[in-house]
Amino acid sequence: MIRVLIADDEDMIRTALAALLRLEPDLEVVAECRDGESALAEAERLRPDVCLLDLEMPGLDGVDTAARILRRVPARCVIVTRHARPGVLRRALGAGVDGFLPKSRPADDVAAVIREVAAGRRYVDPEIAADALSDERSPLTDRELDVLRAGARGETVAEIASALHLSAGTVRNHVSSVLGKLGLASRQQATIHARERGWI
Amino acid sequence: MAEVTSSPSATYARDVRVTWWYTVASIMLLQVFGLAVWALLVALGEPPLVTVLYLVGAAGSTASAILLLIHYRREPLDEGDAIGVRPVWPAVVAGVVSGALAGAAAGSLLLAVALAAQALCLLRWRVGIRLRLVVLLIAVIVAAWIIEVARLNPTGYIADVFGVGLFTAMLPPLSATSLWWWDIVRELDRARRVEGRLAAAQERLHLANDLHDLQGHHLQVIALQLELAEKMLARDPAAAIEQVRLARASVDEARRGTRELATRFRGVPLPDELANAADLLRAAGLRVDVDIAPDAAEAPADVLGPVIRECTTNVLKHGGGVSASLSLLRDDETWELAIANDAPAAPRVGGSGLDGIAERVGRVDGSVDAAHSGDRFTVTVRVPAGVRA
Repeated sequence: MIRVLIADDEDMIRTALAALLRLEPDLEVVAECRDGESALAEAERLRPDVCLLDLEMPGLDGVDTAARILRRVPARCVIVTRHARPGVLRRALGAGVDGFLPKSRPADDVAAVIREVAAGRRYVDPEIAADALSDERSPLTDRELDVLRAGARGETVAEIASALHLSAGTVRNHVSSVLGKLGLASRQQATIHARERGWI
Repeated sequence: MAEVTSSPSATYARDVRVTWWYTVASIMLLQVFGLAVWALLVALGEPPLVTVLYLVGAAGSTASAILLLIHYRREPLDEGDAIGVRPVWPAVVAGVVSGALAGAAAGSLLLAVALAAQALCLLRWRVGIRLRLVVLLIAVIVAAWIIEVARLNPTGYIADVFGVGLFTAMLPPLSATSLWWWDIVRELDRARRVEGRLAAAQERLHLANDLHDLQGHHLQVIALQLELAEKMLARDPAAAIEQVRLARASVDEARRGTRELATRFRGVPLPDELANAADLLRAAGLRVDVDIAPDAAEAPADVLGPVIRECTTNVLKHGGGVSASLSLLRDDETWELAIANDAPAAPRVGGSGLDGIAERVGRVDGSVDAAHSGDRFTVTVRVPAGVRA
C-alpha cells in the first residue's frame, strides 16, 4: 500500500483527485490538505510515502512545502501544476522533488507517477521539461540580479546598497545597466519582468 | 513635462544620446566662447586683479552650467530613487552669483544678467513655465542691454551695440531652445518605445481572442456531449459512457489547442536551450559539462531542439546519475549534438521518443546513434550543416 498525502487549495480538484486515487487498489489517501502549512503538519504527523502537492497554493507554494517536508520526513514529493512558470522546474529539482506533472493528466497517469516515484524513480513530464528548456535566458549578470532581488520589495537605492555592501553609485550603475539591457523605464518594471521569467 | 521624468537616461537609443551630446556641446561652446571674448576685453582694459575676479566668475558660471546640464540629463530612475538625487538649487545659486561676479568685474550689467539668466534657462521647468520664463528673461536682458548701451555708448555706434552684446544677450534663449529641442527628441524616443509595447499588447489581444474562440467552441461541444450522456444514462448506459468518453476527448483536444496557442511565440535559440538543459540537470544534482560551438545558434533548431528536450527529460527521469555532458559542435559540414549521462542500468527509453527523433533527423539526411558503453549512455545526432527542416 502506498500512503499518499494530497495538498491543493482548490476543493473540487482535491476531492475529485482523492476520490479517483482511492479507487486504485494499491493507493491509500491518508490526508487531504488545503494549504502548504497544514500539509507540512500532516506530513510530519502521518509520515506518508508520497506527497502530491499543488504548485499554486496560498502561503507556502508547492515547492516550498516540498522542500520543508523533505527536510523532516523521509517522503517523496510530486508537484502538480496547472501552468509551470519559468524557473519553477529548476527550483523544484533543486529542492529534491521527485515528480512534476501538469494537472491536466488523467488520474490514471497521476497514479502511475505516484507508483514510479514511490519505487524510487523520478518522473518529469515531457511537456513541462520542454517548457523549461524554452525559458528565456536572463541577459543580466549575477550582481545585477542581486540588486533586483534586494530591491524587489520597493527598497530604496540606499537600502539596497547597504544590504549588498555596495556604494549607492554602484547600485545606481547596476540599475541603469539592467534597464538598458531590458529596455525598461523603471526598477519596478525590471523587477516584475525578472520575476515573471523566473530569474529572481 | 512631468510624465517624461519616468524615462531614465539609461534606456536612450544611441541616436538620442548623440543628440544630447550635440545639444550640450552647442550650449557650452557658445557660453565658453562668449566668456573668452569678454575675458579678452577685460584683460585688455582692466587691472590684473579685476581680470582674476572676472576669470573666477567665468569659471564658476561655466562649472554651474556643466552641473546643471548633468542634472538635466540625469533623471531619477523611478519615484523611489528620487530621494537620492542631489538638489539642484546650489548649482543655480552658484551660477547666478558667479555670473554677477563676472559681470561686475567686466563692468557689464548685461553680462551679469545674461549669465544669471543662463543658469535659470538650464533648469527643467514644467510645461508652459519655460516659455514664459524665457520671454521674461529676454525682456530683462533687453532692458539691461538698453541701460548698458545708454550708459557706455551714448553716441550709439551700431557695431558696438550689436557686437559682444548681441552674443551675450542671445546665450540664455538659445540654451533654453536647445534644451526644449532635446526634450522633444526625448519625447519622440519615448513614443517609439511605447509603439513597440503597443505592438506586443496587440499581439496579446489577438492571442486572447483566439483563445476565447477555441475554448468557447470546445466548452460548447463538451456541454452538449454531457447533456446527451445525462439523458441517455437511464435508457442506454453504454451509449452514455461513450458520450462521457467523447467529452473527455474534447477536453484533451481543447487542452492541446490551448497549449499550442500558448507556445506559439515560445522557442529560444539552441545555445539557450542547451544552457537551460544544463541548468536543469545541475539543479537535479548532476555534474554537467557543456561544450557549445560559438556559432551554435545557426544549427537547425527545429531538428535538434526536440532531441535536446527528449534526452534531457530522459536523463532527468532516470536520475541516479552523477554526471552528464552536452555538446553541440560543428565539424566541417556536419553539426554533431551529443548528450551523454551515466546510466547504471540499461536506459529504459520509451521507444517512441527516440524513434520520433530518428524520423525527424532522417528527414534531413541526418543520423541518430544511441550507444551504451560501460555505464555511460550517449545519444549522438549528426545533421548536415545548412539544413532548415
